[in-house]
Amino acid sequence: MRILSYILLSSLLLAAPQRITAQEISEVPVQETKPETKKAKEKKENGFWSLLEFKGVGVSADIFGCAYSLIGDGISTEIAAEANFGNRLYPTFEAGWAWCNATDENNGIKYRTNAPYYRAGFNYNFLTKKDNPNPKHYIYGLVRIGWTNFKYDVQTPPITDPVWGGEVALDLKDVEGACLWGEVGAGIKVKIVKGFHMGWSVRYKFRFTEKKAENSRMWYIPGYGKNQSTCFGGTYSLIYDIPL
Amino acid sequence: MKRVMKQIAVLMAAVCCLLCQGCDGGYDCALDNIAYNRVKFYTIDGHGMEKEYAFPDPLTVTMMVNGSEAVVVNYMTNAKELTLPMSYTSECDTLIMNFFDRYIDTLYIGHYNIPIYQSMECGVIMHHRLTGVSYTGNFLDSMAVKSAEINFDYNENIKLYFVE
Repeated sequence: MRILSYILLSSLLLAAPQRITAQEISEVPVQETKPETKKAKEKKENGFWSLLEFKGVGVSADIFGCAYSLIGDGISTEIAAEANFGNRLYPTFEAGWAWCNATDENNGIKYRTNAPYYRAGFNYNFLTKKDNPNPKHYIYGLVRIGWTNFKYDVQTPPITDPVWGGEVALDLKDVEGACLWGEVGAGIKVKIVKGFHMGWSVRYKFRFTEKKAENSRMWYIPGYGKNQSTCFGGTYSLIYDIPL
Repeated sequence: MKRVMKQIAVLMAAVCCLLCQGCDGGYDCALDNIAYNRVKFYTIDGHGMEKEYAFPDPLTVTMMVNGSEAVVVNYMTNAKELTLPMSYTSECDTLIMNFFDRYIDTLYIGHYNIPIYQSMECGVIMHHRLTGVSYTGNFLDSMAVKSAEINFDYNENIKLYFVE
């Protein structure tokens, strides 16, 4: 039921920008270009680096992490900065903060953490072609490497010695955790109004390393999710292209 | 535009499928819930080589923990090893070994208890680490710690040496 309500909510959010975009397309003015010499024009058109010409910087905020709390175990929010090279390659840095305050209804175990996380990588836009160097929409692949250092608390109800009797409770505070992971995925970006895009990304995450403590193992990792060797995640972002 | 919308629809469907499918099972819960201290019997042969030993006569082993007493081996012949449940709360378990109903040796097994939180789903398990052992030596020749970590790995932890 939670998943269904989430899908409906996110579908509505995605549908809204589409209508605006359809209106916008006809209104976008064609930019006038300065006359160039033939030699310079040839060089610009044929050179490899011309394909990756610096075109600007964008900043974005993710709202998926908050919505994910409807189906997941924690809440996160993040901002990102990306550089635009030829509308093709977007080196990206993402920084976020995640919260988790979970209690298992069956066994009463409590797990708490809140900590920052970081990701770096790039997007590659597949819709940019030679005959369409400035597409209004983007379908891209992404690669990221993510990392976090954080502390977490674990509280458990007393466990009973099944042979000799007696009880032992575990109350761990500020246990140090760390994780390094990778992400690959794909996403879309749709122009909603001038300078603003909105978009999805879905990511397959795989854990490289995790820090283990003597008495516990991380259960929720900020920026990664539940501590599994692989998992899926996503973002739903509002992006602003800073005019240069 | 139509093409892009089609691609968006496909991507959304993929997202829904992935979210419904979820991730891998992640951490496997331990199937065992008691970590046993595994004690094995040895003797030294005529060439000075260590070899496994099956105690030929009836052996009775009693464990004392926190004032409570339990018989863990009752009049067993050809005993080669013992698997002993450790206490969660005590830091020294006492083992009373009765040989032939005549000789009694007492072993003191010092250990540190390590409760381990596995995950929300799997709960807490208990491992132990041996901190020291001592014995009375009435019939027992000697003893040694082979592996101090008592967990679910079926490691041999303590060696007891007898004179054949």
